[in-house]
Amino acid sequence: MKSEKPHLLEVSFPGELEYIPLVRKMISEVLRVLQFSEKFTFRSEFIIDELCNNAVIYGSGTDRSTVEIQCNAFSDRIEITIKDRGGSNENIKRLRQAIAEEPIGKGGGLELVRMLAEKVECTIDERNVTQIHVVRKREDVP
Amino acid sequence: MNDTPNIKVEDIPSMPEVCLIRLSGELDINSVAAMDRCFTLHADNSKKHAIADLGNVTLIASAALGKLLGIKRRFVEKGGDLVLAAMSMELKMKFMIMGANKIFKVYNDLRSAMNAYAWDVKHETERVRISFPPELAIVPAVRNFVSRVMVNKGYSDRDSFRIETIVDEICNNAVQYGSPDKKDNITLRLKVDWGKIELDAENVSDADKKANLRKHMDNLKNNIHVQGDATRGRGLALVKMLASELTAKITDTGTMVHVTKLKEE
Amino acid sequence: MESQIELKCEAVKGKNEAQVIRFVGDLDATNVQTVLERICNLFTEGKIHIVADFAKLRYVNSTGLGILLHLSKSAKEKAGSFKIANVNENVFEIVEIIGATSLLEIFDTVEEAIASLK
Repeated sequence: MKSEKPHLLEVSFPGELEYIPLVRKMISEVLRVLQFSEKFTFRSEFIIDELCNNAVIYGSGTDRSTVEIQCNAFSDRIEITIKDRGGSNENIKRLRQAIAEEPIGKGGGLELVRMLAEKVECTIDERNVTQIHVVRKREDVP
Repeated sequence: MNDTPNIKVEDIPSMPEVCLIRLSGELDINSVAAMDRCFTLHADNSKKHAIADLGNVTLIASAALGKLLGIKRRFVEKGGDLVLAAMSMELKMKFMIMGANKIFKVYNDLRSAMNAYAWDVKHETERVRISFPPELAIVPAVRNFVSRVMVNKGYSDRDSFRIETIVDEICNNAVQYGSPDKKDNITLRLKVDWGKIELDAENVSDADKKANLRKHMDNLKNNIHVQGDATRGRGLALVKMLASELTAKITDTGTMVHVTKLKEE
Repeated sequence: MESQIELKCEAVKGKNEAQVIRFVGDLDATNVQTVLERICNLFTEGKIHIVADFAKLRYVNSTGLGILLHLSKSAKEKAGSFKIANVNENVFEIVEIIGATSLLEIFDTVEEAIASLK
């Protein structure tokens, strides 16, 4: 992948579902301005939506922490990173399973993200902060 | 607190006046006495509000629903409420068939229930931070976002439009008179309250532009009107007219414009 | 507050148990509850055959798709049906990726969906 300085968009917002449509719409509007195709933008919006929904719903249940999303737009791809204070051990296990391509029964957003992206990585640190990093390449770039 | 296999009452550290009732399994007529006992034992008078987590409930019979209604009444008498969260789709549909969705507020998940309480009842501040590239073409996406946030938070269309205009002007200024090589992002911070919004737009700037901003702020302070052919100042003048407060700070690396806008409608 | 979605209901001529619902906006986690309530009410009123017109549905996420699958299943349990028409390319692709094309009854037009009603 080429080395270049990407356009960086970062949003930090309260972990509430109602913010998610607003955040994904803003990011998709920015991607359109940066000349990504309609199709690419739609799929990226979908990825962002699913990641944010997971962060809100399966993240910390009783700690009103924020969700941080970072979108790096390169000429040939976007890289999305989402950070949230993790939830219960059960939810963290579920997340790891989804990332590791194991079927989790209920299906759900992360499996779809995996299908739409070239790379999906998850890290959880000692403070229980969960970080998911997704890379999605432009379809029209070889 | 481990009470019975399918009912637990917990505290929420960040909200000491709220109790979290975790229910699981089948809630039928046999659960009613246990619910009553558990609730009476653990929900003391300091608890004004309750959130019932039904994420692991597979069935709720009308008797158990009636008990929840009784518990709800106790909280309503104290000026609070009992709300429900995290129901599965199947349970939600059964709930609707029983007509219970008209009586209880239902939230998609626990976090949404807590956040709704924090905003609607406690009027807690919400904070948003956006960092974006210094390009004019990106500003509309940012101002649209802020406008939609304000509408979501119950501000009128008119107030939201004024706030959108403020965001547009200060962001446009930050782009046009900010980072000389256009490499450094602009940061917009929002503090959204029940009765006002505070905005901070921060950007990297050089000495000339800092001096220019200082001059324009002085003009505004002294009510010196913008000259017809002036290249800068109109936007800030407009912001000053729309906002309750407008200040600017020169920092080591650049400038920060602070705006407060009270809710008018 | 929810993402904006509008549901416009229309009767189907000659079929009392059927209803066309025109979706306008985005279907996501913030408004599935509204959609579920509205359609549950229709089921309760005896409208067990639903034709969902997605011509103006711009966007759907996995939660939204989940609700569509659930409604489809619920309708079948009541001896009814839940049909979808006019799905845009982007939404259709997501439905395809999720593997739901075989689980949902999807038609090119509302007229075709209505014609398929028994």
